[in-house]
Amino acid sequence: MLRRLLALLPFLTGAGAYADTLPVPQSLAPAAQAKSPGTKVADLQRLLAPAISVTRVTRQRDGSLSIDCVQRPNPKLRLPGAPVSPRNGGAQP
Amino acid sequence: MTRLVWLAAIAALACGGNALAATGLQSGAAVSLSLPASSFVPNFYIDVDGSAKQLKINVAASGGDVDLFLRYGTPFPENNADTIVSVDLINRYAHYHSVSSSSTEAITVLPTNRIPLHAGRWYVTVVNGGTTAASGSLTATAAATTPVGNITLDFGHPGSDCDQTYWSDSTPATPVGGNTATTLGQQRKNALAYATQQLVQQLQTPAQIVLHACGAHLGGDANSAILAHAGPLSYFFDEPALPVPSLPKKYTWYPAAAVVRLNGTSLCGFAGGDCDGVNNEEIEATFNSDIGKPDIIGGENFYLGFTPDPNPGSLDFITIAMHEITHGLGFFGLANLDSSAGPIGAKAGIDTQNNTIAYGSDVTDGPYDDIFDDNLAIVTGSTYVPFMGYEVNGSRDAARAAAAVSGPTVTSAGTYNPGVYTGLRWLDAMAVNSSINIHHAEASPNDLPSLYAPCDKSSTTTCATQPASTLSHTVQAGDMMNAYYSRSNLRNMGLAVPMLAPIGWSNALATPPVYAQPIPSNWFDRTHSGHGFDFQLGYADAVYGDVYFLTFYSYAADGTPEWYQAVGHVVDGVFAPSPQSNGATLYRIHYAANTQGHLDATVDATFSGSVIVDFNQAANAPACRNAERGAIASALAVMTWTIGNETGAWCVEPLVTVGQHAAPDYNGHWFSPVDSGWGFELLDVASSGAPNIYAYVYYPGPNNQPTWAFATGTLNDNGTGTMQLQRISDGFCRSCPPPADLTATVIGTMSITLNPRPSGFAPLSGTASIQASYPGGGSFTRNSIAIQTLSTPFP
Repeated sequence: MLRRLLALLPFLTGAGAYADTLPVPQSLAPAAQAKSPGTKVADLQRLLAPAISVTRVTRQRDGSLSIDCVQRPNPKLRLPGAPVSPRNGGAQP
Repeated sequence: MTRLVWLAAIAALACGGNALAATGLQSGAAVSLSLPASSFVPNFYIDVDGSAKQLKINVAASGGDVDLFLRYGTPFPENNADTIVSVDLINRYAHYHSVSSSSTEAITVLPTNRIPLHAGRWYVTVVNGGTTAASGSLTATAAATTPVGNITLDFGHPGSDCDQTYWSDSTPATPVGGNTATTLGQQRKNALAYATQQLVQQLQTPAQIVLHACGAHLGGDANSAILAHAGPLSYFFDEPALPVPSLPKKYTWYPAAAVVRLNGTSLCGFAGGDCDGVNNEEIEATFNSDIGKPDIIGGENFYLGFTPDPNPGSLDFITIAMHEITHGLGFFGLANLDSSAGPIGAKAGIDTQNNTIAYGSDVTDGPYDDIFDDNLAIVTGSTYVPFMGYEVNGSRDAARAAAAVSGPTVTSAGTYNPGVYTGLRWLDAMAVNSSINIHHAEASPNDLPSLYAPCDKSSTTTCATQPASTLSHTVQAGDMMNAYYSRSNLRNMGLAVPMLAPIGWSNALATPPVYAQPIPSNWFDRTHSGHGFDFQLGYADAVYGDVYFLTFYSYAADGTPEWYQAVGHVVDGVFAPSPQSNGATLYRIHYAANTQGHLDATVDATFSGSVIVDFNQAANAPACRNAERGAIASALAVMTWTIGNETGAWCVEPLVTVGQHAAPDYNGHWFSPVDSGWGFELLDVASSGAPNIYAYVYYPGPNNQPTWAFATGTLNDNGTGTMQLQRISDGFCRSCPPPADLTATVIGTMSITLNPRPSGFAPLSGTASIQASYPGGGSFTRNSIAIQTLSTPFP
């Protein structure tokens, strides 16, 4: 336990003051160096909405117009090259 | 670097906290950055006082791919002699991030954000994940003002479904209703801008949202036409396999605009990728450029005035735009209402084959709750239950389907009374208690605003679901989000303002999240019973998170018992072990021999594995909804692992709770200080007689590979126990269905003598003798060898 407390002392004593030296960059672990499109962590979560909201107008029997809102499958899902990110490709927990 | 395991690894982490290289930032003053490829600078910090209403962190750099990470209260990990930092580990610590593919990043934290801005120290880590060096500057600015939000309109980026000439139509137009433009295209632009300004003002949102504005030839005929369509461009959710703790409710779909609001950055900053174009946009709204043609609805055209058209039933552009864009902000449920897509009422999952959101049998990942539907209730008489929430294998699909037709009947004549209660209600208090809710003064549950849920008998005699409008609309008369909203031309969002709040648009001070505290125990998944892991506290660490070590006992593909290990900190309720030099966070060891004092256990650098155990909100996880676990739902966790090419997400629960421990308490992980490299987990459980003890022994097996066995017995008053040591002889692979029963074969004996327990947290001690025969001959044998606890004893 003493060793642990001693290990924390530099942090505790230095925490209240601004350092006046430029920080030194550190190396990332190898797993992060092999970066390629699709492996960036948050890149992996995006999925297209399954549906869209559609406002329609319909002429009624009395000649008036009625507007309503309905949901329809997202037409982008049928487009070639739909912008869907690969999910979980290359990511490790 | 190949690290020693067990005691050596724990001791190394204990020393690892002594090299914190924090660098203070002055508000508004830029500091220079110079980052080689694949490097990071940890723990800049800024101290924020209680007067701050926003904290903005900016990186502006050139070269490389610089990303930005922000954490409140305690620092990020740093490289030192025994800790290796990966970008994944930085993500685990980050409370906010901005990780676009550019080197220009920004995060703005507000008191209303997911992890609220409050007084104290905020740590910043800058990563260059690119393959070239980067240089630039970092600025942190705390201010006492709240930023003003905006919905930026993108009238560019045309495509096959987006005709941008709609907005540049030079046809002369007469100014109308305050819209002074004199061309049709500019009037449309002005009207759309007015609509979005109304939304921003009424939501009082500080968020910066981008909307892709499109025209398209959507056609129509003399009697009907599509006027416009819109929606969220994408959805996100948060799960342990994705190291981005970013959303208030885990395992739950959030629309892109709400994600941006909650995370204080742009969509490309949150989700990565290019910041140009639609990749950085949250909503798309498309208007029918055929409206106004003589053969469509008699040539009726959009009314483009700012002030409402006094003519009810006109094609009021601003009303339509506000309604549709509100759907895009997240007023949009994902529970399935279309029988052709899957079971009615099913939650949305992922078809991983096609990377699409899907339902029913097409789902190979999930399903997940969604944040809109998470605020709904099913009302029956005077009682109600959540619309979403805990269930096993979609067992409540039918209840949701019934709620979706619980409203008044729609007949072939199309009549519908919009003011009547339905069984589908909005549960969140913000809307329930709002004076906008015409039922707010009524007794519960009549005060819960109803959602559109008609019993559709327009074409059938039985009550059919109306997939089109159900769920994502109100029924309150005159409300903008009423499915039939043409009865008056509106400029007021109505119920949508309080209803959007719990989706991510609240302006109330946010409550800091409370993270789960893990229980040191043996954890297992009841659907993979026979596998499990020993999870023990190494030591408490208030700076980087308490250090735990995990021993995953399992079986190889041929059924041979094997085990793996991980050591690291629990950060915000997530066990995020430190990587080995090859990036593996779950490691396998190799022994040089099995003779006492000469085990020489080293990490097998050729093995690749990883593990994360997330103790937060596990009851929301699909992994925890494949078998009945409701009674113990508060003590669940999700263990996500990879071993070689295998992956799994298991819902685990503690085999023994702290309340079941015997007194004196000998629970913990034990090892031999004179023979480091093997050990055992001891479960010491109170009973009506002598305490029951269970030991999982991890030791070198044949060919110096790690293997395990178990023993059960009782602990006598003098601290001794002698047990048969057993090995599972028909172990099953991690992806295989478990057999009805596992076969245990006696392979030897294990006896322990435990010394009287010292007070406090001092290590417990004793001696052990083990004789474990190998299946093909030979054995692992130790006689009266000194043992002590490696884990911190329970108090």
